[in-house]
Amino acid sequence: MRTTLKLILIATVVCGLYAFKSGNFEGIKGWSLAGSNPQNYNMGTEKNPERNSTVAFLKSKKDASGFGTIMQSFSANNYLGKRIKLTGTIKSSGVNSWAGMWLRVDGDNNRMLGFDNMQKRAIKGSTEWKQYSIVLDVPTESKSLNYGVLMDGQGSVWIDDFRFEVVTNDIETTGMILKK
Amino acid sequence: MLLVCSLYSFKTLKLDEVKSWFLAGSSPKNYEIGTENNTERTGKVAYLKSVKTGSGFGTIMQTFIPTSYLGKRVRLTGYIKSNKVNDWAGMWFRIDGENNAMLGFDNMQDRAIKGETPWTRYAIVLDIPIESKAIAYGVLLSGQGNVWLDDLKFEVVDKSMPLTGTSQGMLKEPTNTNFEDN
Repeated sequence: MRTTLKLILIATVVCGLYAFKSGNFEGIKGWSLAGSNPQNYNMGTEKNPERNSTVAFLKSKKDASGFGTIMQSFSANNYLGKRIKLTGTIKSSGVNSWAGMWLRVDGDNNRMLGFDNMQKRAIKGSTEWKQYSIVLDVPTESKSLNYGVLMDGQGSVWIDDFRFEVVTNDIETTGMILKK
Repeated sequence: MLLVCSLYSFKTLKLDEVKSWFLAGSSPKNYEIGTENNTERTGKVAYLKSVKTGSGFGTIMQTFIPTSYLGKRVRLTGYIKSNKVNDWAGMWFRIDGENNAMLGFDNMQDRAIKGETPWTRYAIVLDIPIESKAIAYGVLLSGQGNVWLDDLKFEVVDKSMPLTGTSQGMLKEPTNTNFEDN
């Protein structure tokens, strides 16, 4: 019960992300830095020798509190009525609270229709490059899909290769089900 | 830019000076708008003149619903002449979404009109996101001086025409998901 409450609380905070979009549009093409305290975090890209490619990072500045997230929104139009799977590859270092990939489905007026932020399977401390996934249904009344990687507290996360795919209904969803 | 964002709150009194246009800005009282015959252009032109000293800006503006432009790249062109502009002037074009969220904007501040300039055609090119609700546009004058404007026109242009300002329409699909595009 308490966990559910906490989840809903975090969800509510993430819902308000639009209000916190910072001026940092130039940072990474197509992406923005947001969160409850975006000013406490840096995002950018760097070459990663382990992946032999450019990856994104989200790093806390000194004494960061709250959470920061790298995020992107796109139209739900092409996914209406479908079950979708988001995968992303993430590495972490020194994450003192938790980090997670998140996906949120919004309807009219940013009403949340689906959400998962991996809080129940959070990334903590230092972890190697690993693929994570989230599976959610996109109701026919959905307007936008919003996703990214958030980090609560201090640490560094590196992110690469987000991918969306439509999956069949026998693949179980990972997030919460929100009834109207 | 922020000032222009809040133009709605400054809608004023002088609704009938120029049909379908109104005077707004941070200090509309310091400005006046009207029309007059201009021999260099055929027929009437509009003007925006400072009538008092003071800070802030005034603008002649209009808004409309962009139904026929949704999802398209649009160019606004207009002819402007200036005289004694001691700060700057510019044509501006703003796209608003739901709840007046700003989806696109250019006010020519990076290529401002200053001092005395002859009739010149200026252009602003923006993408109109499908979720746009209103287009607002006009000519603003910051500080003192006079500007005359004529033949403001919107047209749909090819996507190959470079944008002059920024638009933040919703992405259609996930974009730059491997962070290689920078």
